Amino acid sequence: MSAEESSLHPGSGQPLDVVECREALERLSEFLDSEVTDTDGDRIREHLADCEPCLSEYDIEDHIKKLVKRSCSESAPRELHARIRTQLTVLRGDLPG
Amino acid sequence: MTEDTHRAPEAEDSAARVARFEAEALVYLDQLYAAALRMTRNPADAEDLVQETFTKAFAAFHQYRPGTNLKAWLYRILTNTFINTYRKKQREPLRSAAEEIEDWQIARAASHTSSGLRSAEAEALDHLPDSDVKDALQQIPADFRIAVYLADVEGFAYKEIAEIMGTPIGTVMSRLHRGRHQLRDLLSDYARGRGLVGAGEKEVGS
Repeated sequence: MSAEESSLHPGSGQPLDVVECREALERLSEFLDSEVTDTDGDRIREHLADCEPCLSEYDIEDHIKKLVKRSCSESAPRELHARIRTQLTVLRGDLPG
Repeated sequence: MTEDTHRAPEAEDSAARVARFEAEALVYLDQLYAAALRMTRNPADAEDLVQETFTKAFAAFHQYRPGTNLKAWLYRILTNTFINTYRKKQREPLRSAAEEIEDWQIARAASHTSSGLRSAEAEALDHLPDSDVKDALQQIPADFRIAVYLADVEGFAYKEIAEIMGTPIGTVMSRLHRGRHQLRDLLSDYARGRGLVGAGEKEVGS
């Protein structure tokens, strides 16, 4: 593996930075999904502002999340709507009262 | 107990119940179909799955407590029905929750460069056609696919996804993490195949 492919980036020689990146990356999904507390969100945001490699990760994850949402909107065929309504009419006959 | 007061009115007759079901539940038909399509990966099974879901939901509608999250309730029935019926048919392997968490903890040894995509290339992903995204989703395991779908398309909270999928929140997080990771690898390949991003990930420095 070449040096470019290593997970280190400038400054990662300092243990504190490594810990910060690791935490930010581990919690990126939670952050994207708004599942972190306000305090943790601020801490992660602060880290992203200072750390380009982590911000880049965030960018990619964010794009993919939006891409999935954009790509998955489909309407059911009209026949299925009709079929289910018809079926409800039949089921209604089975109910007491 | 306060439960009874939250249930459907005892006196509700069948006509009233059908009307309430039609007004409140059927509005989710298109959304459930789109989800079913992602789960089953084909339109015929998706239609059957949605019809079965509404049949079950209607039969159990008296158990649904008005004022609680009807969409999540319907998704739970959809997901259960898929897991119990269609996934068996489609022979997708099941893994234990413990195994999944273990895998996740290994995968969590996160690094910056796992995808080989550079920051500038993130926007290139936006140019991928919907069909590529759907293809990529179809290729990841059903549990991962469903978790990603519920979070990204429907915007359910982790707690709701856990209830819908009948798993602990840790498992939801593991599935999301792994699903997104696999999705990203696949989408990077599609983007490269379409020439949207460079063929290699190394800095060329031209």
